[in-house]
Amino acid sequence: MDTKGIFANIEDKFEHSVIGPVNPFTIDNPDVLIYNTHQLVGLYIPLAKELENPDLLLRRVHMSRLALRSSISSVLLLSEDTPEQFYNNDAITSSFDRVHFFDGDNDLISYISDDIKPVRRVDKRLRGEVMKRFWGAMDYMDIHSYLRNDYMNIRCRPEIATVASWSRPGYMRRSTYTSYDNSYLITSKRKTKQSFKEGYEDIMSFATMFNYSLSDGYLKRNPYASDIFMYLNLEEPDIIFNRGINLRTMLFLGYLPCTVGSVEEVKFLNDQYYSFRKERKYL
Amino acid sequence: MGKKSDKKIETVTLQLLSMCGRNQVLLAKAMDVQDEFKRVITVDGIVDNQNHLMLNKVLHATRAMDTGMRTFLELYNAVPDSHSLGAYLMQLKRGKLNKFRQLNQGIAKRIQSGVVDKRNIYLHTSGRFPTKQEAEQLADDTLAYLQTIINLAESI
Repeated sequence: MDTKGIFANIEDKFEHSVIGPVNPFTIDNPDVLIYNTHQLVGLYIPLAKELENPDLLLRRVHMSRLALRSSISSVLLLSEDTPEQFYNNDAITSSFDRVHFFDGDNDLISYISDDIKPVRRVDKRLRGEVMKRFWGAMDYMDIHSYLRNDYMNIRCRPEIATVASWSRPGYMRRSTYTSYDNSYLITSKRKTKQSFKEGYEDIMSFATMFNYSLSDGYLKRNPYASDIFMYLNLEEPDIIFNRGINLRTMLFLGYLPCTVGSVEEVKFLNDQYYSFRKERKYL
Repeated sequence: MGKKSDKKIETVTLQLLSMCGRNQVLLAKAMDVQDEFKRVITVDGIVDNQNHLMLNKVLHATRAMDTGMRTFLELYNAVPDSHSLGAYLMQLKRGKLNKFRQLNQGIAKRIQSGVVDKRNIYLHTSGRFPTKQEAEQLADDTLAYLQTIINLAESI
């Protein structure tokens, strides 16, 4: 499929569309947003890495749904070369309102002009929770400025954490950068200066599947996730400040960016953070 | 602010526009919101003086937020009598059964202090100008607040 050609054609045929949309909360978005005068349609075209690891595509569709307005129809566009095990995977097909195989530009334009009803809406409680958590964390950081602390390595030796894969039932994912210790989920400092997308892809997928599970195409909150304090033990503050979207994505996934030096400090921070959110009516 | 900001503006405002359906009056307002947000970026090439530039950014971002919130409330016949951001916030905090959820009190307070109060300081007080960091933060946050409000919608 010639994606550039597809995008140009969509832009030409629809008065209101955004190629490569960017939402204010996460880096996960559809490839195109189209308003076809009936519905707002989010078109997803799997990347090579998503065909290889469908958890990444599932994270993208469900996190963008959580970040964008509730009634967007999600359409998965596949090519004839798509591996059979990909489009026969129930977790993938049930996560979209429609799945369509590309059969030329005219066919695609006609297909997405249809009144495609959004069926797979995200639970309104989940939508409310994620916004409260995001803005509560932003507020907390504005006041306590934990990012400005000097960087220190955590001294404890946490366990490597695992979560259930969304696309492969029975398979557990683990993250190189995320570990679990005494009801705290920690993301460690990275040893190399990888780009944000590459370096955090792993953490984002892990955190998404830690927070939520998938059931017949619908997101469910993992009950244990809300009791666990998640924080980022990141690089020097300057690096973090220069990556606004990085910070917002991690807040959206529930991480509080901070650098702490001991388990006692983590406990103190945890208590202070929850009291703050309660006082400010974010809980 | 660059191409990514442009895309973010288009993403948020297209959602508002798509909620307006065939209501031409509201569609035009949603387009106005997009144009107003884009002025936060295009003003860079028009105004040289740093103080005036930042004041303009606050002006355009808050005007966009004002019309954006009002358009959202108009969609649900929930516009308050008073034409002000504060009154819109009150209305959003109340919610409307089966139409749109209540805006969380913490978020409403944050919008009040981060947008409404700052606009009142800079647009109503002689000699006061926002810093570059303040103006850009406010412009970026207004888009995220508008997205938060759009996400309250239950019907449409």
